[in-house]
Formats: sequence, C-alpha cells, structure tokens
Amino acid sequence: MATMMALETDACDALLNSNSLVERCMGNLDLVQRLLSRFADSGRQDCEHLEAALRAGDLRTLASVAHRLKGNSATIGAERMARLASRIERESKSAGAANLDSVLNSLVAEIRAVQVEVSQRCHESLDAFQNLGANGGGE
Amino acid sequence: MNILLVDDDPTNLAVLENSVRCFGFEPTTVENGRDALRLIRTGSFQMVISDIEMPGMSGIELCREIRGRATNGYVYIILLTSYCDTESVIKGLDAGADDYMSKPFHPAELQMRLRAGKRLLSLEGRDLVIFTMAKLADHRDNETGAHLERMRLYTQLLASELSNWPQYRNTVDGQYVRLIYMTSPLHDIGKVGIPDRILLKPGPLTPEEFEIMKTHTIIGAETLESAAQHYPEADFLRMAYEIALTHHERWDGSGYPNGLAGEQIPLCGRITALADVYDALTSRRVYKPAFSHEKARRIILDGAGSHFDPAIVQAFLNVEREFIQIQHRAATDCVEQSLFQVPSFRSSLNLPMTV
Repeated sequence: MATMMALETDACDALLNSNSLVERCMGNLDLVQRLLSRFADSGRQDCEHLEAALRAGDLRTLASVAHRLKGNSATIGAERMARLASRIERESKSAGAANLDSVLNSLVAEIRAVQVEVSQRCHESLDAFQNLGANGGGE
Repeated sequence: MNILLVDDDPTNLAVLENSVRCFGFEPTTVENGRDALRLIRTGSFQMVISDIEMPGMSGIELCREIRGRATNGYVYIILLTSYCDTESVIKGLDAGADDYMSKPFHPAELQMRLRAGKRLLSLEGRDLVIFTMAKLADHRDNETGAHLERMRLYTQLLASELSNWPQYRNTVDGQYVRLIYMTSPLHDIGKVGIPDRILLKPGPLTPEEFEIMKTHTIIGAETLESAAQHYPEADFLRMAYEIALTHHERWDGSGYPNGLAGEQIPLCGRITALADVYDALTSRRVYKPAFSHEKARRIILDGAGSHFDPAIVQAFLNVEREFIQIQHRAATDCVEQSLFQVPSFRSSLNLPMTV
C-alpha cells in the first residue's frame, strides 16, 4: 500500500522510479524495455487527446484518458505524472473543474519530460538500466 | 494452474502476465469482459484477475455474470482497482469477487493473494472428494434417496443449535459446525467391508450376521484412523474417525461396538446418532414405510436418556421446524445448495482509506 499512498504525497516524487519498475517486472529487463518503449511511443498522442478533450469541454473523455495515464504511469514508476493524472481524473469527475487548465499544463509538461527520460534510457544498454535501477532509481 | 487475466490496458496486462508466470501459473490474457466470459464458460479457468474499469463490460459486471451462471466448480475472482476507489471495491465484492488488489500492485502482494485463492479452491476440492467417497460407500445399499445430503444438514443444524448454548461455547464453534457437516456423511463408510449377502439381505439378520454388520463401525474407524496418522494436522479426519466409530453407541451404554455411555461417547457421535435414526425413521425402507415426522419425533423423545443424549434431543426439539423443512426438500435442491458452499473472505478485508 506504501507505493499507492505515496502517489498522493510529495515524499516519493520521482520523474521515473526505475527501481520500482524493475521490481514490478520481477527483474525481467526485456519487459521493462518493452513497457518503456510503448510508453514513449504513446506520449505525444496522449497529450493531444488531453488537450483536445479540455478544449471541447469533454470532461468524460478527459477523466477516462487521465485514468488510463494514471495506471500506466504508476506502473512504470512515473510517480509525479501518476499524481498529476490522478488529480485531473478526480477534478474532471467533480462538478467544479476550475483549475483544470493549469494542472493539465503541468501534466503535459510532465509527460514530455518522462518521454525524454524514457527515450534516453531506452537508448542505453540494458546493463546500464539495470545499474540505474540497482542504484536507487529516481531522476 | 490456468489463470485468466482481464485488462484493457496492455501495459498492466503485460506486467500481470509476467508476474503470474513467475509464480508458476499458466496465464491467458484477454482485453475485455466478453472474451473473458466466453473463456470461463469453457471450464478451463478457476482463477480470474480482472481490472474493474474497462470499456464494455466492467470487471464488476463480469463478476456478476460469472456468479449468475452455473460454472464447472468455483471460480475465484480477484479485482484490480485504482488506489483510491473504495466504492468500486465494495461494489466488486458485493458482485461476488473474492478479493481485490490496488494498482500498481507489488508482486509479493499478488503472490500472497494467489496463494489465498489456491487454498480456498483446494478446500473446495477436498470437500467434494470427501463427499464423493461417502456417496460411493453409500451407493451399495442405498441407491436412491439423498440420505447423506440430509444427514449432513441434520448434523449441521444440531451442532449449530448447540453452539448457542453456554455449556457448549468452548467446544462447538463455527469450525466444529463446518467439520461435522463435512464429515458426518462418512459415518457408514465401513459398510464397504460388509459382504453383500449381509448388507443387501432383504430379511432380518441372524445374530451372527448382525455381529458382522456391527463391524462396519470398526472398519470405517480403522480406515480413517490410518489416514489420520498420516495427516495428523487434518482435524476433519479425527472427527470422521470418531463419528464412524461411535454413531451406534447409546447414551445408556447399550450400543456398539464398545458399549460407551454418556459423555464417553464423543459429542459428534451423539449428534450423528440422532440424525441417522431420524433419517432412517422418516425414509422408506424395504421393511418399513416412511414414518411421519410426528411418529419419528415420538420415537426419538422416548429414546431420550436411553438411546440418545437428552441434550441432543432437546436441541432437536428446538430446531424441529428446520428438520421438517430438510426432510421435505427435494434432494437435488440440497446438493445444489450445499456442494459449492465456500466461505466468504469479505469480513476479513481491510478496505483502503479514501484519500
């Protein structure tokens, strides 16, 4: 439960916690690599979906995309992103969605940052990634 | 063991698949509830892990569908939830899920939840095997009727009544009630060792034949005792042994095989004795018609303090109405309702706090 609670606090707030990702994949680095590539590939489209939904005032779509992003980012260890996506999901489900704009901007910026980080790591060798994971992950 | 994984999110599905494979399961993955249901209907899956929030059929609807249809044995369902979605957890458990896990899950947590599921499924298997053995033994002299189905309901009812009495509070608890329900059908298992010419004889037995007939208690007890020695931790074997040995003993010491009296006779034997006699009286036999409840009740009351433990007779009177219901209920109903009874885990769950 510690991981989940951490998503809502600032205490554990990594751009990409590779430690937890490697652990979740039970050391299967092949799987780690696949998940990260998939994530990097879909990032741009996700940002477009979010922005289009907000422009159209389509809060349902916004909540649903944010929900999916929350799950994905939490799984790969993008903790800050998971926290932001969770806020978007929650606020777009509640009636007074006032400051969605600024949170959404933060989320889009975060997605891009994670994407850059992920692409860099995907270019590194698996060994290097493993070392990163073993050394405590984080940013 | 096969396990079905249901999630519309490929990332989550891949992580799940990897973990359960590491834990020695054979995973099959599908991305929606409809496909899941189709596969479950093939009878190949006893365990399902499903996401809740999916387009089309949600995980909760999937649970409801699985529970609403007769499946080939019990299907154990674990739901995956978002970390702050208490409401969905409650809906899911109410729809029939056995357990839940928050996403993203830790592999060690998944492993423990799978272990709990396997334990429950193996218990169901054990209960079925015990009952099948009992039916097999019963089949030789009792081809029709649902004697064993009624027997276990009667013993369960009596034990459950006694569990409310202060003097039995320390001996008869929920576990005891469950055990007697499970093991009382084995009371006559020793009859497999009685020759056909005696067991199936249409007329009355000679004194010599009756002596042989009495040995079914010892044959059954010896069989169960040797099993109990191999598995000392299996308390159901211990109770099954006591029931097989003592269900023909009488409160006044005039029973067999050992002429035990009063509380020398284990409680489970005293309970089964009354249940067995009541069922024999109210069932048709080649040598007698089925007696009415009233007639059977009179005979049992007459036997209080001689044949039966007076306390068990009192318990019988307290739950008389339920006895009549069981006696009248169609045997097939009894089987359907009781064969797949599985304890619920719900009460022991700690729901996550909403944040």
